[in-house]
Parts: sequence; structure tokens; C-alpha cells
Amino acid sequence: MIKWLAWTIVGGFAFLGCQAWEWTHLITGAHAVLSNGQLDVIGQTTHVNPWGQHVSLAAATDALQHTPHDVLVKLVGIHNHEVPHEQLAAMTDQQLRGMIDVAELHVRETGPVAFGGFFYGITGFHGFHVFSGVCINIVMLIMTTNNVFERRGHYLMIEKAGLYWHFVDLVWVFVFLCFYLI
Amino acid sequence: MEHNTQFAEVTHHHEPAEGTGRIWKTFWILLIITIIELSLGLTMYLVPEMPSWLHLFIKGVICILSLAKAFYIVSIFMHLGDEIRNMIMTIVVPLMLFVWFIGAFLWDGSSYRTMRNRYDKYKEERTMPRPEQAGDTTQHGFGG
Repeated sequence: MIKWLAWTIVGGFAFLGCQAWEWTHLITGAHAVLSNGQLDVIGQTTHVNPWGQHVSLAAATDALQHTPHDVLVKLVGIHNHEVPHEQLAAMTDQQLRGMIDVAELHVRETGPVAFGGFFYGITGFHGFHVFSGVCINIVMLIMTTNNVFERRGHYLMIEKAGLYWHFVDLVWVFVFLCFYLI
Repeated sequence: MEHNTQFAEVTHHHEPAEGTGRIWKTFWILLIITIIELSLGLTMYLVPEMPSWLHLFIKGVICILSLAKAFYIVSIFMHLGDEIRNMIMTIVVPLMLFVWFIGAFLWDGSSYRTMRNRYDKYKEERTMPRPEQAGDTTQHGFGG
């Protein structure tokens, strides 16, 4: 019993770790988008969504000509990791544009703004519930190792903690369905 | 079981002898369903040009598989399947309201989106103009 409780806690932390990793990549990720006739580099936040329709190569090439210096530096930085940022920033716009392969950028339009709010709101709440579930499981583990339930004569508390844990699990089945599969 | 006479909260029998076999069996079923769901989802993601009816069909299959998973979790892991029939019905039948309100939310959301897309902020609301009649100076209404 102690062994499996411990594994459940490890699993809970694994879930939270994956979520932290995923959020970091979504928020700090650099994606080329076309907005207001020029290119921009954004990640997925509650204000912007870089996952709109693909933009044609011609439109993207045209927009590149109207793109300001700081964005050009970011665009080059997406695929080019050898040249340090300071050196890129010192280059002229023409030099930077020469380093950009528009086809490689996979430029998209911005997508629906509401997505970020829903995604972070709902998966964030779920992550919080998982975290509290992990805390409850840790308390159960400590109580079990102290033989509290053995002395009490029943394991109802464990049953209730398990019920909560499986409820959170059940919610994830549907959160996963809505956000990742459909 | 002697525990049950001792503790009033225990509402159903637990058979410890039943062991963990049933739980493991459920675990494998859930794992297999999840793998099928994931492969269907990845198929939709990786196959670029797919007819929209097929897309919708795969989504439907995934939804049904998810409901099957929910059934196993609630019935085995949350022990609802071990309760008496009336208890199960008391929990499950009110959940039918979900069918209604998911439908209602989708309908309402789609209607709001359509209205917002068609919203014209320069449109002026007007009442019907008063019919003009030559030579008619009679004033109607209050204070006439």
C-alpha cells in the first residue's frame, strides 16, 4: 500500500512536470505570424494565439518587406542559433531579410483570441486540483506509515482520498478530449 | 463483515480477498482505449487533406471511447458499480441534464458568434416616419 501510494504521488508530480514543461514551451515559444500586413513573432498567451490559417508564400514575402528591425532579429533567431543576439541586432534590415527563408517560417495568421483564456484557465484549474490531490496523497502516505489507519481499524480516509483522486482523473479524461483530441 | 456493524459509515461491503486483479484489468482496458484515442487523434493531425465527414466521424468515435473510459473509472475506481441499482440511478440519471446543457451552450455560443460577426455599429434604429400630408396642419397627440 505504501509502495503504490508513493508511486501515485510520483505520477502526480510527473503530470505536473509535463504540464509545466508544456506551458513554458507554449508561452515562450516563437512562432511567425502575419498581422497588420507585417510579420510578428509570438507565443501562445491569453492575449494572442499563433495557430490561425497558413499564409501563402507570396503574402508572407510581401509582409517581410514591411517588418520592423526588432522583429526581423527575432525571425532570424527562430532557426539560427549560431549567431549571438547582439550581432544580429547590429545587422541592417537588408542583411537580416537575406538570412530569412520565408518558406521555413511556416507563417500563419493569428487564431481566435479566446483560446488562450480557455486553455490556460481550464488546464490550470485541473493542474491545481492535481496538485492538491498530490498533497492529500502525501498526507495519506504519512498517516499510513504512522499506522494511524491500522489503529483506527478502517481505511475510510484512504477511500475518500482515492475518490477525490479518481474524480480529478475523470475530469482529465474530458479535458484531454476537448483540448487535445478534438 | 464485522467492521460494518462497528462503523455505521460503511455502506457497502468490501471484499479484500477480491484483490487487485480487477483494478489491473481496468487499468489495461483504459490504457488500450487511450492508445486508440491518441492514434486516432494523431491520424487527424498528420493526415493533411481529409474529408470533413471522416473528420467528424473520428471525433465522434473518440467521444464515445472517452465515455467508455468515464464509465470504467466511475464504475470500478470510484466503486459506483458496487452500489445498489437505485443508488446508481440516483447518480447517473440527473447527469442526463448534461446532454441538454452542452447542447444549449453550443447553440447559444454559435448564435452569439454569428450575431457578433454581423454586428454593424453604424446601423441606426428608426421608427416608421410620419406620413406627410399636404395641407394637414392638425396636430395629433398630447398638447395639440
